[in-house]
Amino acid sequence: MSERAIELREITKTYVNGPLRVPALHGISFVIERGEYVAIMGPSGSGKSTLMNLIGCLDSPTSGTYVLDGVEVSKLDDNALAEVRLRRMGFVFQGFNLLARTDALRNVALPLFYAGVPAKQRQALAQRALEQVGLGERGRHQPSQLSGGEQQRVAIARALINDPAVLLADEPTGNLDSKTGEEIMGLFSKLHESGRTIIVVTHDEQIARKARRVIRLRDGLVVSDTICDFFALPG
Amino acid sequence: MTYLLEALATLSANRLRTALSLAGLVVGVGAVIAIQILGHAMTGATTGIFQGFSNYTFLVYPNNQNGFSEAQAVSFAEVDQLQSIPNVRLAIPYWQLTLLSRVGHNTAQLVVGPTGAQPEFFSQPIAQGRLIAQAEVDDAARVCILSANAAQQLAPGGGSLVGTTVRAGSVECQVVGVLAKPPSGAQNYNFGSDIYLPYTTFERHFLPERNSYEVLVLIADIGQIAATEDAVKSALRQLKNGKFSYQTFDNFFLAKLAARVFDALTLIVGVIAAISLVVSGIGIMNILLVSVTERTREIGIRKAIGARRAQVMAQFFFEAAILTFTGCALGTLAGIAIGWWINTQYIVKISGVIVPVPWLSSVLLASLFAAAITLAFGTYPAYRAAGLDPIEALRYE
Ligand SMILES: Nc1ncnc2c1ncn2[C@@H]1O[C@H](COP(=O)(O)OP(=O)(O)OP(=O)(O)O)[C@@H](O)[C@H]1O
Ligand SMILES: [Mg+2]
Repeated sequence: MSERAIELREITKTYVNGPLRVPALHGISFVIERGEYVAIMGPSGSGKSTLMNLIGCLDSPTSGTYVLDGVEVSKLDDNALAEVRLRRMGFVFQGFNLLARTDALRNVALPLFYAGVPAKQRQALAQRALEQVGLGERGRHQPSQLSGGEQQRVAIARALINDPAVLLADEPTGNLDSKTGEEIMGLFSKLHESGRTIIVVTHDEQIARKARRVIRLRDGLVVSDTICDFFALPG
Repeated sequence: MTYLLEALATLSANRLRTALSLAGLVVGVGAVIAIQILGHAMTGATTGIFQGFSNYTFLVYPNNQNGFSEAQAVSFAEVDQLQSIPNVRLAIPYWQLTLLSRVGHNTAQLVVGPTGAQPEFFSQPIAQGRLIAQAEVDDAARVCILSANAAQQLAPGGGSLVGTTVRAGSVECQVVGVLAKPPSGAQNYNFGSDIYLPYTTFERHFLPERNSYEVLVLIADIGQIAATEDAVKSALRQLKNGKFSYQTFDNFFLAKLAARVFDALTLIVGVIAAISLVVSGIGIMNILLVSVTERTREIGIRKAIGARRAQVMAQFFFEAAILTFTGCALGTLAGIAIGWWINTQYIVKISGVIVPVPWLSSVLLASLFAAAITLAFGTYPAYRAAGLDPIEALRYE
């Protein structure tokens, strides 16, 4: 399959803080096909997170065009963007961002609540998602009772629960030790094999090597975009 | 409905925060309501303190600052002149004597005084027997009505005294009725008598000079009591050619004095209560504001996941509404319970009456205030945060 999941054309982003203007992206263009596994790399401050937030519809570009699954989202309003985040995006953060004092099941089920899924069904779906990430037994545990790796897996389960078109992860292993990080990356590989489109931001070449394609940024520009053909395509 | 459940889930997930906000509300609302109840009860209680003296009567007596003279006494003829004053139903010469009284072998020192046939002469209803008949008044019959206190002292065993003969001093008379017991606590301030004789009988035996220093006036309309008192006072002054002046005493006189004291007290305590409500309001504010940082992150997470602004707001509103409602309800219950307890344990012992308290207005007022605080400080930060960019909210420290 070679349908376009994501198409960016001349995306720029300038942060405006009062009189201060911080240009973070200077015109980014690339296309990501469905089912691709892409790593985004680059030095600190190069605009990786900014780019991820734009792709994840958490933020809007200053200029340029962003087409997601054939729909131009760069011009959507607040509520429409929320709808896109809810139905088409799964976001995994470096800091997990789970709700405190809320057990794993409820955390995973949260997107379903906003999607208007009835409570009974939410519970069952959340349980299934937790099983997918290997935490079927830990549904009643709160984030504080889980290790970092487990928390990140709960966050991944939450990101996957609405069956999103794209899974985005901004330094998902940044807060984890290397062994746990590998486990998480293994999970991403498995998800990729099952056909998901995945975009991961990372500093770790080791991790980037798992992806088929690596996009490197510097100072808000794409400096290289390599597809590692020697990896066999899944299936 | 689902938002309500979700809000409940969030509230129970954050028990400490919920409990602290609730505690503030409960204390604030409870304090205001308890104090309102007590204030009303104390003010209302003052009218109940002076039992044994009917609201339909007042007493007239010489203003004897310059010493006491026989000329100040009001003659029976002069008393009769007062009958024509508007609103005066009956004016009778008045006096009370403490006499050794006896029924069978039981004796007691009891206050003997005059009365008429009208039930309004008494502050208590008849418990046994009947009132004195007008014919018995006209005939100066030797009948009497006993107060509950007198009945208790003369028949400690508790038997009915109606029909028996009481000897008051040297006068024997037949008991026709016994008054009901006034509410407990009133005895200390009893201005009434223990043995009531028809005033005609009383005059014959105890006022042989055919004059008295005091006049008891029975009126028709309580609302006109002050005007009637003035009319009686000036009539007597005229009868005495302006040489003497007279003053009056009624239940309202002392009650008004006491009520003024209690009104002042209620005001002071009410101010303290209002301060406590404000303080607890600040407490609620504080707790809700302190949680804003945490909540801003929470909102960031919810928005990043795909919650729309309105959905986030709805949840926060429900949370605040549940808090407000529960807090005000608990506070109201606590306030009423505490107010009621102090009222029945202490105030009723003083006054002898349980005063119905118009607490509804204070409940509404306190609840409105608490609700405003909770909604304002529970929802406003959420409203602001819900408007934030999700990334900004996530970055919020
Ligand atoms: N909210 C903001 N306001 C102003 N400037 C910002 C904001 N967010 C990011 N920037 C700036 O934009 C540039 C890119 O930031 P970004 O966070 O995308 O970098 P990054 O590649 O993710 O870095 P790191 O690897 O450290 O996470 C930086 O210069 C940063 O200072
Ligand atoms: Mg970053």
